Amino acid sequence: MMDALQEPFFLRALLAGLLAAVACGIVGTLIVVRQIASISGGLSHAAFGGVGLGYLLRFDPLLGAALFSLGCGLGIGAAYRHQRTGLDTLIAMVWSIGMALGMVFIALSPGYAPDLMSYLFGSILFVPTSFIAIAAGLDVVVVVATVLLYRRLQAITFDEEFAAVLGVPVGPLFYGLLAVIALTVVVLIRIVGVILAIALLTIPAATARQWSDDLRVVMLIAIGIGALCTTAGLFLSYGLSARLEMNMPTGPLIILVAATVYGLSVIASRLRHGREKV
Amino acid sequence: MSTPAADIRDVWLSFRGRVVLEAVTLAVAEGDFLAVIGPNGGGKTMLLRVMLGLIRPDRGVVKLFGRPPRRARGLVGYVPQHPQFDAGYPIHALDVVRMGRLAAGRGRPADDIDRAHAALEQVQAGDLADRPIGKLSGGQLQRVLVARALAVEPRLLVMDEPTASLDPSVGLDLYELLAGLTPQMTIIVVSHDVGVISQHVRSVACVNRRVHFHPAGQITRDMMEATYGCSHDLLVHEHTHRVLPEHEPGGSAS
Repeated sequence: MMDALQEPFFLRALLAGLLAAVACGIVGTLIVVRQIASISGGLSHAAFGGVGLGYLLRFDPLLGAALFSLGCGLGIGAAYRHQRTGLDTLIAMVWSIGMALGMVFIALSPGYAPDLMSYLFGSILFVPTSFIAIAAGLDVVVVVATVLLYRRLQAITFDEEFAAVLGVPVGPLFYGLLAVIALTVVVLIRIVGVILAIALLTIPAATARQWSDDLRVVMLIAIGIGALCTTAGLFLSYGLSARLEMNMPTGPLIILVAATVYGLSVIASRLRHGREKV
Repeated sequence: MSTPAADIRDVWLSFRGRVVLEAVTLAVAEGDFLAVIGPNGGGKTMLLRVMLGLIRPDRGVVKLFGRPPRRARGLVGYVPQHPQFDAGYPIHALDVVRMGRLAAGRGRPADDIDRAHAALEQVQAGDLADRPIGKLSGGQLQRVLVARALAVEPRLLVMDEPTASLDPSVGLDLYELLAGLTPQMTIIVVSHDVGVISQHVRSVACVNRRVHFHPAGQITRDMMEATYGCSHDLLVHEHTHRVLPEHEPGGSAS
């Protein structure tokens, strides 16, 4: 299976997976502890509207995804901060309207969309070099912002009200966090697709949470688990395709590996803690 | 007279179509130890939230140390009645307390940690520093939250029923501790525990939509009559008197 490492496309995919794991581990941890997974799911599905617009107007669908994801992120953020009631419903609407818009835009586009599935379930094996640069850039932004603003991010995700009394700029930080979530989602769309992005944001972080009570450590473990899952998913997909001539989609395999790791982690942490928390 | 620590002028607030604060005017002098009392649903917590700048009143002006609440942040420590956070958050007690240091700007981390430890010691919770927040009892959590507010080293400390779930066996006399912090610090505390606070507080504000301020030291029987006389609802009035001495468990946000 090591012959995979001779293939430039495979190395690119491997690198893309590892880079995505970094942003995913940090941002995903904040999503999990702040319990805004549903917002993140809404954003990735809303982004599909942008993918469709890209097809229709002939620009990069991933750029469309970024615009839709960012726009919806800030919109949901405003609703979240100003009137919490009905937020759930709003997210559900954004979620499905984004998908509907995407499908309608694509139907309106001349010709047909051969790589439509790649936006739904990812196409890590075909990432271009430019994407590696984007993922690396996102990682730099996420890591630098988290290091500089760690205590403040911890404060606003832990206890927004107290943070506000302290004079922490809760609003700008929250919108900043949503913007970074939106961009992370776009990177994940390339790797595991619109439908599975939310899994890669939540599963590694939720698994990591079982092994530490320190936010920083949870982030680091989540990065490790994310890296493990994308790498294992890639090798699995490559192996199944090369040996058994099965055409296995990589994105879904990555998610299933993550789910397996989560399951094993639940069992292991139960054994370690006795009967305590899940 | 010097600038009051908290100055509230003709504040009106409605919440879900109901007037909860009506023509409230209240000046809390620096160094005062003020108890805020009144029936459940009378607007005590709302008054605090308006004071802290967490809610904007429909009408009226709020000033802390002569500035709008948003400009006075960092001067104020706050202990909420019901913590807003999730007990599953991965954080240790020390890091919760250290959050209070954020108001001080970018201090040296080592200094912040020292001060956080000191604040925990003040509430006899030094041994809880390394405990994850989810593994604290209600009373322990409450002490950690008091420590967090103390770590701000505020000029004004605002507490919403800080003794509600405190475990008496810990032997921490919170009011004794608070009384020792005045007059360097101004303290405003919501409490149902009239018996205890009457020993320590310097003044009392009765909140029942309107606010009546009593600068006198002791809570006399006459005063209680007078304060609860402000009650518009005699049933609430009766109810409050009956329930007060027994420590109302939890209850709705008042």
